[in-house]
Amino acid sequence: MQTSSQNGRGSRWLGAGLAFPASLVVLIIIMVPILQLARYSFNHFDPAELMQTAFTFENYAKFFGDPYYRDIFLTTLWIAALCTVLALVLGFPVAYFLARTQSRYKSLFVILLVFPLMVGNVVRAAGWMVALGNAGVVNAVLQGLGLIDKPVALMYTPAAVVIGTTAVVMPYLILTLQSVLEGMDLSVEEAARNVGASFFTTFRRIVLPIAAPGVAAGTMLVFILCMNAYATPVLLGGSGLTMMAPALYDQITKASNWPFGAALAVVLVCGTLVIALISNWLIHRRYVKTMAS
Amino acid sequence: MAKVCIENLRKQFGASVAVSDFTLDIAEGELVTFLGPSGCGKTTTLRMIAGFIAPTSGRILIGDTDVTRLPVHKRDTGMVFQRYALFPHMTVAENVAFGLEMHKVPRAERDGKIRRVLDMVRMTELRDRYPRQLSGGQQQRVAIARALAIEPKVFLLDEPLSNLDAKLRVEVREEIRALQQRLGLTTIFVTHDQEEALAIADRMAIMNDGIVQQVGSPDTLYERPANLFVADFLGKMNVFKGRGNAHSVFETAAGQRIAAADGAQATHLGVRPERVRLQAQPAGANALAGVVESSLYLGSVLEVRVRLDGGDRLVSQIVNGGERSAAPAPGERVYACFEPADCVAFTQ
Repeated sequence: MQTSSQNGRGSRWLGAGLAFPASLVVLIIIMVPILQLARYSFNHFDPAELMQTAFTFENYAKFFGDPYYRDIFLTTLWIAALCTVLALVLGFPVAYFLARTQSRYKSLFVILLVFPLMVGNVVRAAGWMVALGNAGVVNAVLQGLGLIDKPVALMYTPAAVVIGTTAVVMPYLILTLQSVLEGMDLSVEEAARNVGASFFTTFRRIVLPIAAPGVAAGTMLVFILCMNAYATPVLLGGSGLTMMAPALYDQITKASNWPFGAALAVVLVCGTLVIALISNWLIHRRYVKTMAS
Repeated sequence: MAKVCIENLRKQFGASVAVSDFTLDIAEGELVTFLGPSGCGKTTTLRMIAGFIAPTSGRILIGDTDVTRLPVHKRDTGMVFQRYALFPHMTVAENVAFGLEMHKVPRAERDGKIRRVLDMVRMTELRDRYPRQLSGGQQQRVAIARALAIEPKVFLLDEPLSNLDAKLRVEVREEIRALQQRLGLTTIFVTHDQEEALAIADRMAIMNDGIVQQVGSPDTLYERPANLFVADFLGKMNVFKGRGNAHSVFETAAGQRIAAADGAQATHLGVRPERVRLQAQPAGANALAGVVESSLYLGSVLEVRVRLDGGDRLVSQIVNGGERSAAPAPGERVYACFEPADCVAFTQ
């Protein structure tokens, strides 16, 4: 026993040693820019001199004190939440279908799902611009059906941003959920139906709780993507709707206010992180503690 | 409990036929095993009875009710799955309670029922454990309790023991049989393990290629297999190719003459290895001279291969009785002796 535990400790050190160089590189690549940005956020901005090294909270004071920026953050939050919920509600049935179908066209469906990911967000947003514009497909169809007399303004509204962002993140969510659901033993669902549960009861009482941790992870990923969305809100929201990522980009490129842009970035990162941790904790409390193996 | 009638059941997946013309009546309280190699359609048939697969044609009756078009959750079958399929997020007691809740059993009665079924499978002490905290055998006991708690009309088991190790398999198998007899459960037990099937069945249905080959009691199937597939699948069988004549003599293709009890039209003749004695001197109606080719030590039995003088080959199984029954050595001349009554004739 003693030797085996010593061996265990030895191989653990060996494993850690082997993983160390790669981990270090990853850590540097990921953490250094973020830390640098965090440092910038405490610098002073002078319109004439631009960024000046300092240690001040004025950028954060400006963010929390100015309702304009607070609103941008809140807008980002609710747009991201709405898109995530929409993607989840629309994507779950699709993922469940993909996970359970015996169809020989299953791989075709998956390819169709992956296909949009091969086209950049900008191009897909451009597609939505064509569809949602005053002379676009949506308005044409609605007019053709006689539902509206004159074109409805869809572009540069929150609705356009929500539609575009949901469409962008949906494939990620569906693919994540599909792999979660495929990992579930089908006979567990069958056992539930066998002892008298209907399809929907089985879904609610068996599938959902078992899939919850995986669903939560996928949902979190999508929420983070939505919080950080840039191209879609810029192209579809225009000046009608500003989200955090475009706002901080403007600060850095147009206003050349690096410190304030950095502060916005830190708020965005920390805000997203806090929300992710809280919901992770809630999910764990609700489901995971009974499931952990 | 109820009887089960399966009438002309057929299932086709595209062009391939999984089950064809399956007809079987199962009496109340009877245990029938479906036995066959993988892909023979036994699980498909069971899943059609449970309602997971819709038959292409045919009818299934449980009691006097035609359940062919009834959804799974309204059929009142209790199924045990190969991989236990317990609800991982529920305790043992909650797993059992789920079915009772679905059947709208009043809360006040649930506890008593849960206690009763858990007692039956000796899992009362572990009622608050989660499935992941249980061994395979314990999990399968809980699965049995969950299936029986709803007092199903039919008890269905889909290879329930194949994930357990050999010793446990026998133990749980005996428990299932005892439980089934005590409660008088109408039971269908699917397995690919012939010993398992023989050990617990009232009757067995042997399937191959989607077709029922023979239905009968274990000894009928073993002693009087209806065809070569059943003979070969259930235990071992020496099979000679040749032709029978009206004088109860079978002549093999190699020219060996064997006295058989019947089989004027036979094209094949079978004899079980354990019915063949190897002797130094000829004795009885059949004493076929030959040379020992090899002998295999299998623990409780010894398996001796003999090449008969005519060219046919034959296997004899000898009970390992220690030094008293040492197997003849390769190269030794022996007589393979067996009774005509032990011969089974097949016509193909």
